[in-house]
Amino acid sequence: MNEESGHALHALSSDGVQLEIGSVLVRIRSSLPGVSEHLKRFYTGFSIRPLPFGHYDVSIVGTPGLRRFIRPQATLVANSRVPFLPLPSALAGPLMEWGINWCFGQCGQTSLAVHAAVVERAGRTMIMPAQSGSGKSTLCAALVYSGQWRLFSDEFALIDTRTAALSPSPRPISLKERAVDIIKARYPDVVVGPEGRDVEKQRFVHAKPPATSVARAKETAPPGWVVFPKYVPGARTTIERVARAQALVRLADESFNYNQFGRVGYDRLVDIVRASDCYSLEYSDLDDLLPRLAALTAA
Amino acid sequence: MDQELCWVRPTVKEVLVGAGNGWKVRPGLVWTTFDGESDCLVFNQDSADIHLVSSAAHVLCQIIDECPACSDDRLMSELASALDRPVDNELIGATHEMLVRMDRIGMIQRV
Repeated sequence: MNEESGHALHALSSDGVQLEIGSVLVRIRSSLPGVSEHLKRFYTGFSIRPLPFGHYDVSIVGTPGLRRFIRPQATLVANSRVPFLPLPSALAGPLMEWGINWCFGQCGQTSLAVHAAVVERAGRTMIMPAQSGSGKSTLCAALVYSGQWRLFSDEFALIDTRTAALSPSPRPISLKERAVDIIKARYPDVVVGPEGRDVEKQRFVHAKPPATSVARAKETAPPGWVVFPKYVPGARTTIERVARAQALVRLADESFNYNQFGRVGYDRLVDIVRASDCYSLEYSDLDDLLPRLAALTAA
Repeated sequence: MDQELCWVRPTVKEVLVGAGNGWKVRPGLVWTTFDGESDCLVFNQDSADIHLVSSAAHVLCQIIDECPACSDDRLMSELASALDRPVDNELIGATHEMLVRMDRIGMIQRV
């Protein structure tokens, strides 16, 4: 999305704007200013593709009637479904991100989706599966803003069910609670959005994905490492090997649509762990961790 | 992933009396081993469940597969031989636990 395609945002409130995110086309529709501001802030460098409708259809709908003036709300409609309760309209931009997340997690037909951050270096990906609050996005942001790693996603490992290759879907990185301050202090030039509180009342911001990652969003890569990160305040860095069998069980536990693929999904997870060195790590100090990870993945 | 299965559960009577003296391995299990690792993975194609089991359980399943009518005593004897250890209380207890667990998660059933 450059200055010229920025004009295409005029269609946002009518037919919509179709963003190309990696190999996925997402139509966005909304008349709420928060959505167009969000797109202008975070989606420069993304291609806009002509309609007809591609893979996912995300609308952020404002409240009708008098409610527009008193505590206005925004409702997500994703692929004709309303997966969440309405949120304050100030969260319209983030709601669009959560809607796209929902689509990636629920609607994938050809990709096995695992809740994980994914980054790439020297042609191999590092998959970091973890629950929310584990420090996965903090580590992901630190790696990609260091310039040493390419962002695939801070939320989804999208695994090709034929080849086990990982597909990039670089989008704004969601930082929560302490990660907001850590990343802002460490990388002050990174574009971040306004702070908000999500549905769990957690403080969050979105941070703009690196332009180089967006430009290479169609370049897939094979797996190289599976790392289970955990941020523990005050902890010294520990990195320990994890058995591949255990890593596979944990990967499957973090998958959104593994059951949908049955044997094929299992076989691809086996491919992933066979091709990867698997580790668990605890950290609190990124200055200590990042060089260690660089050395580990260079070996 | 090691979830309770809700299908083909034996009745209390079947458990107490036993439907028969032997066991059989359920069809549709996919075994995966990794170099240098003792634990194995079992994928159940019917339920899509994945189970992490010990190498001893893998050996026990192979014995059951080769001898579906074997009694528990015979299984223990065969397992002890395969693992090159005596049939003592520890092996008997561990084998019993393995059989109960594998039955519960749908890997084997009484015949």
